[in-house]
Amino acid sequence: MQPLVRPDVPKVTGDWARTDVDRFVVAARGQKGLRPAADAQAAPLLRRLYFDLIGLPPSPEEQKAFAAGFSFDRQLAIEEVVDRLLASPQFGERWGRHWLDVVRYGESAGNSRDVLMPWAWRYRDYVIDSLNADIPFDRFIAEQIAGDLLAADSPAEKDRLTVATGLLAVGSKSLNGGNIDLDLVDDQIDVIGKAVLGLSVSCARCHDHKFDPIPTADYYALAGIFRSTETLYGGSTRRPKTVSDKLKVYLPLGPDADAAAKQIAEHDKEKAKLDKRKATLAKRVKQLQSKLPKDWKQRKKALAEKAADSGDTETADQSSAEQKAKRKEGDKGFVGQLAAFEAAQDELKEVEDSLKALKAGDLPELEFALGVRDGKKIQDWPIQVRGERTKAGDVVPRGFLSCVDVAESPKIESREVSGRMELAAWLTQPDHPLTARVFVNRVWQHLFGRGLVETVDNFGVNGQPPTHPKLLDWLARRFVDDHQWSTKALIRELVLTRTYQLSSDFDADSHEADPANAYLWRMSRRRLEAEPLRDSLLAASGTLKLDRPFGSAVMEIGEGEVGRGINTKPLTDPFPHRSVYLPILRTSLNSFLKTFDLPEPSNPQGLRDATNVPSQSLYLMNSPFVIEQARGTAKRVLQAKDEDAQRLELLFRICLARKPTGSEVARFMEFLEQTDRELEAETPDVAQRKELSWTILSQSLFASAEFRYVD
Amino acid sequence: MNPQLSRRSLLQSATCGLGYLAFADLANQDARGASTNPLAPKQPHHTPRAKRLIFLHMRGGPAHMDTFEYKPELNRRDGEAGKSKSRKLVASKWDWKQRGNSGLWVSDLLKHQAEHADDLCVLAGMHTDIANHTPAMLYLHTGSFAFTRPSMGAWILYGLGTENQNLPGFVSVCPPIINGGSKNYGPAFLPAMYQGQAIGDIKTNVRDAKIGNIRNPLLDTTTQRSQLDLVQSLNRDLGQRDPQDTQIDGVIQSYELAFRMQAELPTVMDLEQETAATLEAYGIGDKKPSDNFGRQCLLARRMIESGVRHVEVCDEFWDQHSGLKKGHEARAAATDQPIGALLSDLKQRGLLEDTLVVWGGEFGRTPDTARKDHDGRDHNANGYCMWMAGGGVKGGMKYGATDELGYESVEDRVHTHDLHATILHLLGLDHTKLTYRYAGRDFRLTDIAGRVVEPILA
Repeated sequence: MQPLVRPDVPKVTGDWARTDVDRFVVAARGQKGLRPAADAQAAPLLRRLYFDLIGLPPSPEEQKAFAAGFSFDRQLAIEEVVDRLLASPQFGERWGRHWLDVVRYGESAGNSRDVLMPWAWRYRDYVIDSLNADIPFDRFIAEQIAGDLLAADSPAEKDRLTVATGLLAVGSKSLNGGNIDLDLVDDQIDVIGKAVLGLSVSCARCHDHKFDPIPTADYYALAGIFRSTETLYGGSTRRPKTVSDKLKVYLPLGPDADAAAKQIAEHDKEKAKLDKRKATLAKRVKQLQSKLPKDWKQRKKALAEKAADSGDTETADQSSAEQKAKRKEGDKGFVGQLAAFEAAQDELKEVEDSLKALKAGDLPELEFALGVRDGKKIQDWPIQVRGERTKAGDVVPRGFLSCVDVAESPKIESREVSGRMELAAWLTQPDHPLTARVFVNRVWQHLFGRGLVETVDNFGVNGQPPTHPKLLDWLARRFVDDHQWSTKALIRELVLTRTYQLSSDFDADSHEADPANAYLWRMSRRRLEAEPLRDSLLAASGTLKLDRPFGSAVMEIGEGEVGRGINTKPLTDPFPHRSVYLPILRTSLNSFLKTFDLPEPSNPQGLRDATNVPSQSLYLMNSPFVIEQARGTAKRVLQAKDEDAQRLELLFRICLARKPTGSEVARFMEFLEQTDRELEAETPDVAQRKELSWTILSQSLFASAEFRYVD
Repeated sequence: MNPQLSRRSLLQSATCGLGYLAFADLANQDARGASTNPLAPKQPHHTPRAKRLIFLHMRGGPAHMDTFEYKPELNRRDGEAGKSKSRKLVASKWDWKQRGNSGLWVSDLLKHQAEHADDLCVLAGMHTDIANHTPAMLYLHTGSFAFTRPSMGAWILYGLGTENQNLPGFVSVCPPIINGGSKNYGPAFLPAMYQGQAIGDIKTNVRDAKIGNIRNPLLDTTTQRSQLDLVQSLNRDLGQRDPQDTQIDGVIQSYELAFRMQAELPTVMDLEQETAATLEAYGIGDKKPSDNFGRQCLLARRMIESGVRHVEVCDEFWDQHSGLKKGHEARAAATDQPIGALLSDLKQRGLLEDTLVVWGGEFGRTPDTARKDHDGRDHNANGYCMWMAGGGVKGGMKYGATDELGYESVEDRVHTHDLHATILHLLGLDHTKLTYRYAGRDFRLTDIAGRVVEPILA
């Protein structure tokens, strides 16, 4: 919580340092007696830049072009690649996923009843687009917390800002049991606390925070903001069917969304009215009909005929006067009944016609999103003693964390607004001690494998202290003041440092002094996450589709609930797109993502596990998906080159972005021969056998540790 | 000498094809001592009374007053007014007898379990916080329903590791897809390796259940082994570039484990290796109502015997708001004989003394119904029963009670958190010490509650 002031860049001797960041690193390293490793070679550096910036491997052609440029002017070649990658649409897909981790993105309610959220993907796409458009981080935060309250100069911009508030709606929630209103607010405070501030604020729901200076009152000051906000997170265990139902649980999108929503609401109201009228009338018609004599149709006809030739019948009628009078009386009753019946029938027809006309009328199409808007009731909230809803304590005015000191803290004074705008403004004050520090630390972690503060989600007293406190502060200030919160500028600055471009070479002395490489004497070896791993497999076989798929498999399934008769086919269909677009169903995660350590999507998590469980090995050894990609790769390599040696080089370039060593060539060629012999009996066809052998070879490279790590 | 260096240099000295043999021994050696393998057996907090756990989960909520909680007053007042005017008390529809030497009351609904009365410790004062299936299921399995928390099995695996590295340490057989689904055996914020391995699901019988990716569809074992040798040679090269890096060691180790697992797991799952008499005893056979649950129980025994730490097996449809007699009898027909056979089998093999077996649903049922047909019971979280048997618990004992009609537990009450604390205690873990730091705070299975139920400990 210490004030964020810009430290001086340390003066260092020697010419190793290239940038100011390097100077901080050199100063800290020097105190430990660490020697920096050699600069990285072209091949590992290019692979590192590709995976770090766009999450994909460089193609063999790109490798060759870069190597040529690199030997001519190293730094120029690097800058050219960095700028190209930062500008590519794949950048947002890579870095958007990092943000989705810390905002616990998912497409279903999870927890108790796993109800699908078919429109959650819009928020995912919003995040990706924002990273690509390099929306300044302060603005990015404001959009997600208060997008609905920000000015928009076009309908498209209004929709974009509406979708941004999906942050507050896409969390996991307990739809059966618990207290959804309070738990929802808790989730919103939790995600903002962890993602933006690096603090677990939600402890203070029940008691003053045990370690950090967050009293319960602060929690309820924030809670008041979200209790004054209406969250539209889609269907509950009761699924919305009609457009009116949907308007109750979703936010409408489109150029005239509000007018359209109003029109639809009126239409539905009118329809409901007419439906009711129709039901009443139908009942009445039936009732009146039942009162008519059975032969009413004949009698009606007879009466009509009688009226037509009344003169003759009078004289021809031989009945007595008494009989005539009686019949006349009967007719009179019948005529009355008939008239009432026919009137009701006409009225019913009229209502039916109106309904038909209503149905034929053009209704605007509506698109939907998850998100928030200000609630109808704006209110401060009382402390719930021990977090229980039945025990209300003192009312706390809406506000922010009292322990954080910013020069110009906004105040929530109006009783007309929830206070989300003010919250966003408070979070993104240039001197806010946490927001920029937490974010630059996350970016640092993604590029160097470990945050300057190792506990990226916890900047509280229980978190780790920073290894380079001055560098962290300098970077935070530079990010805010010089880069104007531009994520791309920050990343560019970091990857152009000499520190980032170090090799990962081992050194016994440095390792002994700093085994965790906290002081950056080399580049740390890092594990590839599930998404770039899967994307690499698809890229190797040449089947990866880089265009963005529309929506999500969850949208294709539509309203429903996991395990309760939904159509699961869209979840198992082949999906050649980038993995960031795979559906995230909280109780039914995609098996690849789950096996390779996708974090539990209900909890914000900025640091992924990198486990080595046997299920991962089994997946790479045996799964039909991996074997299919290996076969695709084999075919690609066999088609592209005629000589086995050239094929092997291409295979290595595709999989590992480098040429094979002499020893590797020897081993692989021997393996190829041996496999060919082993397979001869069962697969006599030479071409088939060739394809099979190369499939096995390709899979061997997929399974190698090098494929899954970045140096 | 650095142990990692020595391991690697040994591996390097072996030829490709033989390397894995040397490795296998080293991996086992690892498993005995302190190890980088997070699944290796770990020292418990205190001497455990049970080394393994089988949880027989009866999803839906069996009625305590029809199984192990004898309520003569309820049976006498059949048809009288219940909690409200519209609700009438429902007597148990089964005969009750005192069983074994202990005289424990068990209804005739569960005749096979009744034969083991002297081994059962019935917790008749159970209560939990919520009477909806899903939250109650999550509460039972994770200690929380509003938040995503690690499952009990994940906690156990995290705390104790597992004996057999060739098999998963925590297995959930036929788990539900709804009611929290995989969250009931998930790791939440614990490292993913502690998650339960599902075999089949509630809609897929054990007979048809397949473990994903356990067989290579293309290669025979010999070719796959030579492929793996090639992969491991690349991995060793990579490891050599950084002799202190344990990550690559982890990858190498993981492949060898996987290779052995793909041989061992299908063997454990192959129930055909059992004698006809055993299959018969477990009620396994075509068209028998107990076929699937019998397979689940037998599989549980085979896994426990092979060193799996925790197996949960799951039955469902104990949720008779109506059709109580028929419904409960159908569930008994499916589960009772297998459970009886499992207890006998464990005992006969000497496994029961250090295996804890726990039976129960997510809650119990009400003594009354509002239904005219007078043949149903509704959800009841205020009072119900579960039982424990085996490692470290007293047999032939009833601990706690509900009121005379069975509405709520009134004596020696045991809350879900207490159940968890007690299970962990029997396994050698102190529930207040088994913590994991996530986002700046230490989390526990029992949150800030839980108390070990001392009087039932043997």
